[in-house]
Formats: sequence, structure tokens, C-alpha cells
Amino acid sequence: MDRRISILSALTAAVGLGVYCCAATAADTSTSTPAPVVPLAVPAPAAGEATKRRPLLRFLNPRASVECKVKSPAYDGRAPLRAVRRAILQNRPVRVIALGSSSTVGVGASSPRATYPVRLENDLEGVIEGLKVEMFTRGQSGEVAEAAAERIKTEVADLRPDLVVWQVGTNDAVARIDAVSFGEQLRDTLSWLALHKIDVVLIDPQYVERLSGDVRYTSIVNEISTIASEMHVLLVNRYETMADLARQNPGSSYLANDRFHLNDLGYLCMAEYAAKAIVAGILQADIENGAMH
Amino acid sequence: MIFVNHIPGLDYSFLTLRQFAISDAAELFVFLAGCSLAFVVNGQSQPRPVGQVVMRLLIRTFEIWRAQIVTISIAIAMLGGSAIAFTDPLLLEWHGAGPAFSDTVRSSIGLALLTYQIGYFNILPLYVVLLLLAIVFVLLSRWSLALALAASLALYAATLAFQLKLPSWPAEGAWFFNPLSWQVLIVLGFLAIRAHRQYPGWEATMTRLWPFAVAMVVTGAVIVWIDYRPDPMSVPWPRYFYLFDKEYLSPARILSMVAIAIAFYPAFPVLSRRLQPLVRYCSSLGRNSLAVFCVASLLALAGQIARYIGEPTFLLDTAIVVSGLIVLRVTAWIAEYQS
Repeated sequence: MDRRISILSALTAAVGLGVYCCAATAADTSTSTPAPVVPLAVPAPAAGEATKRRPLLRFLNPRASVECKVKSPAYDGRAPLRAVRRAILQNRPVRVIALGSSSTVGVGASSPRATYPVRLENDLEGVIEGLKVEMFTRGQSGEVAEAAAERIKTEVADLRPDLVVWQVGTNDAVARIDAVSFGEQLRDTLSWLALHKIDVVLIDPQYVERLSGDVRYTSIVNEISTIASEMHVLLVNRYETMADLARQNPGSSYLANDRFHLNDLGYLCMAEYAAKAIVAGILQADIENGAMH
Repeated sequence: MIFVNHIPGLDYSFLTLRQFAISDAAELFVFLAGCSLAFVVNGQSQPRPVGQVVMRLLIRTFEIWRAQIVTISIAIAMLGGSAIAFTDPLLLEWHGAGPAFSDTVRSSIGLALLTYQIGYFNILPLYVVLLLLAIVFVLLSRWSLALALAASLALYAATLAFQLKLPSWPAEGAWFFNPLSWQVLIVLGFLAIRAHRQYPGWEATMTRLWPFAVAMVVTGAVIVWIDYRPDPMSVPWPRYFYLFDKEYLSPARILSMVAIAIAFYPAFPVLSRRLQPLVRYCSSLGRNSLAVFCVASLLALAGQIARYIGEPTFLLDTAIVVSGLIVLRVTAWIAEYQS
């Protein structure tokens, strides 16, 4: 009986994922078109109550602006964001720390509301029914991963977040930190976050045309990708997507006047890519939960 | 040491204090600043009048503030100049310098108020506030050294327990070094020298403490070697008392610094006899510490830029360190020549 329920739950979850993926693909071709609410995974029913199952989470399609459409995938990996899902099911705000440098602070944005953490908060709240996000923005001032590691831990201990969105690596790449030592530090911090059951989404360094052939810079980008895959952490492909945007927009319409920092459009895209990754992670957790029963 | 510390990834980083101890060069700098404070506020035999003490501290504070403004302005100019010279806007972003270029109006105000700091240029703002706070503790010490120590420890404990901090602006956040907790180290340095002068049994006490200090230094080295760090999620509240936190200067860092000071105190006379050229070199830098510190900070930034633009190799790192040490000696010589 239990086995049958498991199969039924897995099938329902798979159908839910299929519906979601189709809807997401369709939404990629339009600009922020609201989609109908799609039920996804189902709760684990008690024995004999299979007919009374109700959807746990309800998702809308993440925002997908035409201007942000790129060839590269917005994110890599398949990792369940279990802590975030748990917070949603407990009907409490999801606590998110956005860590990073100026892109996190929002240098180049026309107003605080146009920064990526604020947009991400709004995007997430618009995608998942009943979701409230409590966003804590913690821009780091040029700290490399080694120095940031301790600060991250105390911030996390103070704020007890469900999710850390960590824009990592730019400062290390710039400081010419060896990719191997950087990787060790990153692994250590990610292991610590995993130990305390805190979900993580990484965002890799910014694309800078001058450094696109710089082996040391790209080795940090590659190291982050390797570690994200090895440790089953979702990775927002900022480097690749920004490179695509640069190729598609020779006028750099996504950059601020300094031709380096992102402008409102750039932050809009960054938030959308991050939102896609997070929604996929929650969805994964929801499916996993359904499949487990 | 701060010069080498401020170039992350340098091949010579293994020589810095933080590779062997829980505390690092910043603690040493502030502790020694406390020691020198004792010479600033007290004459060789008689204590100076209160008005004179306050005035000397205010003048010194203004001097440090001025040094910070000049140094950070040059640092920002170096980053801007390098960004133009190498056509690399990423340099504008270094160490939190971005707002200086993108939000110049508010950043200029923040620079003058010291609430806008960039990475590796945040020790002098700490020193400015520490000197202002020191006025209170120095005056209290005229009545009683214990009273000054108690007041300093009370502020330190309250800061760690209630996580008091000075906000930064225009960038959101707090000061990299929290002056409300770091004040305890400058007070300890100051009181150590005062107690040395005031209590005849002080030397004997230090001698008795020497074996414990050495044991603590060794323990600290082992902790660093095995890379142990207390887990902030596992320690009890108030957690900053149990961590190795730099912003709040957790007690472990203070104990490490004090143990190092006691352990190496008897070694100074031996070193000064055996390593005379090295001691002479270090003394010349120490006598002109402010000028040397500012130039060292800027040299470190130049070193970072050189490693970023060129390919960092052992040869380049050696050239950076050797040329840096030469320039620092010349800086000290110029400062002495001027005075």
C-alpha cells in the first residue's frame, strides 16, 4: 500500500514538474505574463486517504523579461531548497541573506527599489502563493572568501536565515587568490552552511570583457562551478548570462553610465535569474518531498 | 607586517603574525598605540596637567584624522588612475571603493566623517575614535588605574553582549573594527606602561606570568595550525565572547595579544643585542609609525594592483616586498629629517 502511495506521489510530482516546465518555457517567450496557478507536489497522504490529497505549494511562473532572455541557462544544478520550503509550509516569512559586493548593494541602480535583492524579494513573493520574504542585504567591501568566511558565519548565526544567496568570487579573482585555496575556503563555508541546514544559492563573478581571456579570473569562475556541482548547490550563471547579454546588446544597455556596474535593467535580469534558480530549488524540494512518501 | 598582511595571496604571507596566532597585526598595532599613549599623556617623572593631556590627545586625533583623509584619497585616486590606465573598470570596485565613484556626494561626506571606509584603509578611523575614547580612560586613570580598567571592560562587555556598533554610511553596515570593543586593547597597552611605572612589583609579576604566557602562545599557534574556529551557531549567548571575531575583538584575540606581549617582553633586550641592524631598522619605522603606516598601506595597494595587472610570481612578490621595505625606510628617514 505504502509503495503504491509512493509511486502515486512521485507520478503526481513528475506531472507537476512537467506542467511547470512547460509553463516556464512558454513564459520565456513573453514579457512577465501572469500564468494560472499550477499545483505542484502533493502532501504525503495518510494511509487510505489518497483521494483527499491537496497541493502543498502553489507556483506562478517566475518573471521572464524579453530583455533578459539569453542562450545560456540562468542557473546550473538541481538542489532542493528544503529550508525555504519548510519556512513556506510553516507560514512564516522566508529569511534570506543576500551576500556580495556592489551588485548586492545596488551600485548603478536608480533607486533602492531597483536593486537586485529588492527585485528578487518581489519576484519570489509574486511567484509562490503565500510566500513572504524577509531580505537582509549584506554587501561586503572587497573581502576575499577567506576573510568573509568568519563574517558570514556570525551573520548567519545572528540572523538565522533559511537561504543565503551568495555572490562570491569577484574579490578573490581580483586579488589573484589561487583558485585551489579559494576553492578550499568556499567548500569549507558551504559545508558549514549545509551542516546547519541552511540553503544556499551561489552567484558567480561578473563578466568583464577585458578579463574574459584572463586564466586566473576564469579559473575562479570555473572553480565555483565545479564546487557548486560537487556540493549540490544551485549556481546562478551570472558570468555566462552577462557575457550573453554583452554579445546581444553591443550598446551595453544593461550597464550603468560607468560601463561597469549594472543599471536597472541589469539588476532586473540578475534578480530574474536568481529567482528562477530559487523557484527551481523549492520545486525540487517539493518534488523530493512528494517522492519520498 | 601590515604591509605584507594587506596584500592577500602574497607568497610571503606565511611570515605574518596571523599564521601563528589568533590575533594579528591589527591587535599589535592598537596595543602598541596604547603603550605609546602612556608616553604622550605622561611626562618622564610628573603627570602632565589635565588640560595639556586633553589638548595633546585632541591634536594627535586631528593628526590621525588628517592622515586618514590624505591616505584614503590617494588610495581612491590610485584605483581610479589604474582603472583608466589599464582600461579596467573592475578596479573601481575594489575594497568597497565603488561608492566613491558612483555616489561621490554622499561618499565625500562619509570620508570626512570617517563613516565611509574602504577595505584595508579602516585602521586609522578606528584609531581616531580610540584616541577620543582614550581621553575618558586617561582621565579616569589619574584617580585609579583599576577604575579606568573597569570602565573600559564594562564598555567592552556591553558592546559584545548587546552587539553595539558604529554604523557606516553611505554604505549600509558597520565599521570593520568596532571602536567600542577595540578600545579595551588601547587601554590595556596604556595601563601596562602606567602600571610598569607605578608598581615596583610589576616586573616580577610579569616574570611569574611568563610560563603561562608562553603556554598560551603555543596553544594559540596549535589552534591556528589545526584551523580550529568556534562555531557561531553552537556557542552560547552572548556569542561574541566565545568566538575569534575580529570586528568585536573577542576575548580570545585579546588574550592572544597579551600573551604574546608578555612572552616576548624578555626577548627584546636579547634581540636588540643580537640583531642590531634589524632592531635599528624596525626602531626607525616605529619612531615614525604614522608616516610609515600610511605609506605602507598605499604600497600594499600598489602591490595588489601590480599583482592584478601582472602575473603574480614568486619573483614579483619578492620585488614587491623588497621595494616596499626600502621605501618604508626612506619614508622613516624623510620623516626624521623633517622633524
